[in-house]
Amino acid sequence: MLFPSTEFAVFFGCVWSVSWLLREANTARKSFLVLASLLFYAAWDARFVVMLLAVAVLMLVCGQWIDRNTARRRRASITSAGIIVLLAVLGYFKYADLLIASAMQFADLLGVPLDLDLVEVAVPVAISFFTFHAISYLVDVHKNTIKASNSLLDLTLYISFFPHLVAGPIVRAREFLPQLAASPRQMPIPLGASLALIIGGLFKKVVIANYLATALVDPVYIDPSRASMQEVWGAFYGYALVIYCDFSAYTDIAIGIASLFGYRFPQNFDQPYRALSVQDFWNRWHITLSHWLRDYLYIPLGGNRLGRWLTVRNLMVTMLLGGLWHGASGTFILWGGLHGLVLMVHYGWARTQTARDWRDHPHYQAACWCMTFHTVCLLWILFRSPDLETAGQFLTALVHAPVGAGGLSTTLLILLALGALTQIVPKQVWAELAQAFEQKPVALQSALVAVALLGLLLLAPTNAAPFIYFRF
Amino acid sequence: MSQQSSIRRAMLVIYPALLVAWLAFPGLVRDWASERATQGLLPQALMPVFETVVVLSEQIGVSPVMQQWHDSLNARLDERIR
Repeated sequence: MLFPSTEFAVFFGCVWSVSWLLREANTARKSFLVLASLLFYAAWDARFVVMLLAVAVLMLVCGQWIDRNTARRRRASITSAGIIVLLAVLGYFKYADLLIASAMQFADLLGVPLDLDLVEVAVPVAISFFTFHAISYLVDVHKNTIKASNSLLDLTLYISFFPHLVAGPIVRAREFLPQLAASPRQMPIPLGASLALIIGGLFKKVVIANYLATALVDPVYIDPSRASMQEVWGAFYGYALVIYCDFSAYTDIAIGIASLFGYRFPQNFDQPYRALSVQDFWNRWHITLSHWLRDYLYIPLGGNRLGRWLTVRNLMVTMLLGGLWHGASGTFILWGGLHGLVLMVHYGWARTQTARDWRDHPHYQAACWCMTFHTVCLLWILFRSPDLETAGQFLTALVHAPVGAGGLSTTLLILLALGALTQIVPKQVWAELAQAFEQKPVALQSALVAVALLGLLLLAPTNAAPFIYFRF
Repeated sequence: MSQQSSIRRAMLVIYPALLVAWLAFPGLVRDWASERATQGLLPQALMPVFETVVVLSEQIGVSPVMQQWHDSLNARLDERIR
């Protein structure tokens, strides 16, 4: 059930109405939202609804058990056991085949051929996302950052709430669970901001990402060796905009929809292509995942507290696992590893006297922006390519493709410019527009939303491509 | 601090807009329901409502115009984008 689909519009209309009718009864409303979320999940794949419920039960049992134990060692053991179970399930579904294939390749290299069968099991939709939600809950309870919840209903709603279920943002339990205790009767909602997120998100996905992907990026990646220089460079910059407009659209819509239900989700993107370093980029891109990796992996490994060499090791381990989280393939691992390498270089450079002296100089900042943006775009080639061979072909084409054989249409250039505007227009402009919207009469607000929806429906291609981050 | 609205007000804004979109493109909802009709009782039960909206929209001339605009806009985009 894609967000930009008739099915989701009907689903949302029904669920929003019923949840409003249940506004006087918080428990009934939450129960209904759980049922609706499970239905939403079942629309993707009904087989794994039980797994989602099992994860919620595991969170309840382990959380209560941790809470009742005062002995530090015992609490740590229970937390570790819970995390091991969660990671084992994630590993089985997502990484078993990668491990088996790697073992066979390694054995081949050693001259001892192994003949193992691949598991080839269907990967449950959103397994990475709900596993990370569950791990953060257990660790937070262990650290006493939050109190263990004794409500299976709340925990199930926390991991399954349909706006964030399939592709994030990753919401922390300490941000979400307290909101469930509040009575929904008089929940004020930022209507202008929510609608700006939803309609802006739909525009980014349905218009910018869809057309750029189908007309420019996908054809070039099918066979980079047949594309012209203009097309290859168009796809190089185009994919950076496609993945931003696609993924940020999903989380913007998710945040906007949750807000219409009265719940606040954290921001997940902050104009990432304005970043002046790769470290800055990761503080602006998929912020909830970056912060998750920082808090539950990088800092527990020692962060930057154990000296220079252990800091760079921790950066590399975090980014390699971040790459692996995106998918069980060599391209993702290499993508994560190269990001780790760039972060290591930046860590070293940022500590030099030269970097400190030049930090505020506009020319230095312009050079930093240019280098960061192109490094990120270059590494997206690995992310987008189905295999290392295609990535190599694309890199070769960036230099050797014939010039002038095929150019970019004006429409494509306009779409690229629209994508660039998402990074250039200051956030304050959207906030002011949303505020101005709030002050308009209801009839005018409704007319404006109707015009925006009709515009999107007129522009939308007949079949929208699925969101890129669904497969993670 | 941004202004906030009640959920009731949000519904007064969003539902009419969704209804306008439905009236403009009633075929989308009818087609979705007919695909789902074999799987669920609800789409099956509501099918007459969806059909009525399609007929109503056609009679007042909204959906044929919108569909024509959609098709010509998409055709022009397809032609100019490549």
